Amino acid sequence: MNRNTTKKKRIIALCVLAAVIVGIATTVIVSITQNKTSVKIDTAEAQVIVDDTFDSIIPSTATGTKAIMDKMQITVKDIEYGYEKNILLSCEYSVPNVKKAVTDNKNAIIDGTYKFFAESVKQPNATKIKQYLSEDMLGYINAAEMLSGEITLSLYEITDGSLQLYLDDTTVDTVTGGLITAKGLINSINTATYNGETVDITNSTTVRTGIKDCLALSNYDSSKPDTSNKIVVWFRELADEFERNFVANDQWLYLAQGLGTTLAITACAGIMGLILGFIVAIIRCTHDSNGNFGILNAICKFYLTVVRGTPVMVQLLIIYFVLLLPIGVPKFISAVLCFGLNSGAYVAEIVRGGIMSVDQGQNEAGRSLGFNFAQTMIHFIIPQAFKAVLPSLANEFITLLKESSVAFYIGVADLTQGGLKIRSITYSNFMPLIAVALIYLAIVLILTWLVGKLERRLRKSER
Amino acid sequence: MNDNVIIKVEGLKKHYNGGAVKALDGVDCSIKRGEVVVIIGPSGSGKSTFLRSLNLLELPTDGKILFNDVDITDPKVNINLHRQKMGMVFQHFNLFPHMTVLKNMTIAPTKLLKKSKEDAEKRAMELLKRVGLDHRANSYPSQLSGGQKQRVAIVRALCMEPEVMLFDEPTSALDPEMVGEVLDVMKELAKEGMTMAVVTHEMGFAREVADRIIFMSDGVIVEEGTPDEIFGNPKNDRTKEFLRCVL
Repeated sequence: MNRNTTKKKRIIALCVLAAVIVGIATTVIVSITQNKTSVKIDTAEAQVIVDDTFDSIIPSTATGTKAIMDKMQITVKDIEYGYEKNILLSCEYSVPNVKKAVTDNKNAIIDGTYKFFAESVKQPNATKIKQYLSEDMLGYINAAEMLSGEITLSLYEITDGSLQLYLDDTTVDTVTGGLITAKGLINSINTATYNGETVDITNSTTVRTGIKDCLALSNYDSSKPDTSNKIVVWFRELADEFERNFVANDQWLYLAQGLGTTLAITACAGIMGLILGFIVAIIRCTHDSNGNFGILNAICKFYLTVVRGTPVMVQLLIIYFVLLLPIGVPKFISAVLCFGLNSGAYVAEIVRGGIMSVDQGQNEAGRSLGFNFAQTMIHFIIPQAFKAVLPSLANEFITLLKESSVAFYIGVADLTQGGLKIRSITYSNFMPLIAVALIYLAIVLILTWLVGKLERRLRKSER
Repeated sequence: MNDNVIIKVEGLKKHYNGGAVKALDGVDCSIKRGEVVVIIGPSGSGKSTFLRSLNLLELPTDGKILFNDVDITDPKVNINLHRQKMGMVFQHFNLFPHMTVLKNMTIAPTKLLKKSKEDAEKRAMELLKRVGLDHRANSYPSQLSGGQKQRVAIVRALCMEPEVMLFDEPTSALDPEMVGEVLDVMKELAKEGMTMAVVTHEMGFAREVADRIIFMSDGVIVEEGTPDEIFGNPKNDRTKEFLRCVL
């Protein structure tokens, strides 16, 4: 029955451990295989890309459009690194004095458009084209004049590691208003006015291509990488978060170094607590059994009462800021002393309980053979007490490991502090905090497993 | 005469709660070298307290215990050295559960008498063989039966080469079929001339092995004499009453 329970516990512990390992491995593999955003840019660099793109999408033939686009200002306000090669730019745009620009360039615009139609349509009548354009153009200009607002643009990393600005139809519509319409509108133009007559251009590939070229939208693929698979997206997002929190700038080192500090504090404080606890427990038990150590016993009692009666964080703050900081003791040593003192009190009571739980007959047997009190304690009582309290001691050690997380209050760079440091850099809560929790959990599981092994070995003598 | 006396008890008193409970109320007695003394009496008569006082597991309130002419109740005396010469066997065996049988037997000789491990183990194996347990040397106490445990407890005490053996109800915690094997070991020990003080309810054993029987009641020795005198012709009413009940 007992063995079955232990077996079940082991299986559960292994499952949890396996799940954690699989999770971490998957995240790492996905993060390696997926093409994440690896190019990091600042606002100024993003601004250059945006400006270049909008400069280049207007061919020289579309003079009017160019004039308005030249006046248009798109300002990159903020950069957010999303998933799957995607960088989101929060931008503001405005088109000041567009009417003046168009008016100033009116002839050039009309000439340019005339040339365009002249190449596309045979024998164009310049006057007709001027009439045709001027009405529409005015509407465009009025619409463009009102343009200003906020927009999000997407930069995608392309194979050579540089960034490409993609404009979807909505973006184009929003940015250019009535001046440039998207593909849908181009496709809906079926007629042109030519020589006072309306000419059907539905099947005139040259004209359509010309208009598209003019607007230069066809150069820009508005399709994004596939985001239809939610699980893939989720993993990519996770992988990107992972990369952003831990891989970028070697931020994982905060966790690794923090873990080292946490383990060092726990180990040092644990050993100190164990020694202190045993000493206090033996003093107390000796006093109980033969009345020696009156003053020491009183000191121990006082120590136990104070330590067990106050929160460990308050103890830490007092020990560091009140007692040790003024005499220049480093934070790490202060933390070790505090947790050691704290743990010692709990260990003392655990061990005392263990010693008291050992049959009085064991003491009598030892003494009757001629062992003195101390020898009896060392050879017979404490080994048995230790075995009895081992699970409780292990729990105390595990509690100590977890409690040591308050060390960040005095600025010790422990594991918790490492997680908080990353959090303060990336403003991301999920990854750093979950990572900290998982690391604590993994260590606790390993400790539990080790203690289980030791316990089974010790138990062999009684089976 | 005095050379022959190994333990001499004078006016031994053990009071609890400032005299409200008198477990021992003035016991005088002496045990000679090689003598087997069996202490009988109703429960609560103080016989166990008396036996445990002999090696100071109970600290007497008053009185003297002379062991080899040394007053071991004197706080200046190192009682541990004297206890080494007084083996004790308990009702509940009190073997060390975290040690093998062999380790149970060798720890005291090696740590206290500074015997080498080999010597101690050799001696322990001899003793185990005598009680028929040499095949259990590497067992842990929990793997033994009650009778086996008690036999180990006896030879554990013998490993210290004691001058006197104190038995505190050694068969009381045993199943009836195991009592015999333990008593056999004790009889053999008595035959070899070991000085023994035995608190027991085994009247058959007392009658067969004892050189002298002490009957205690209410913390005092009521009557003492040879088994024939006590069992055949008890003088005191309380002795008569007790024997009528147990025989």
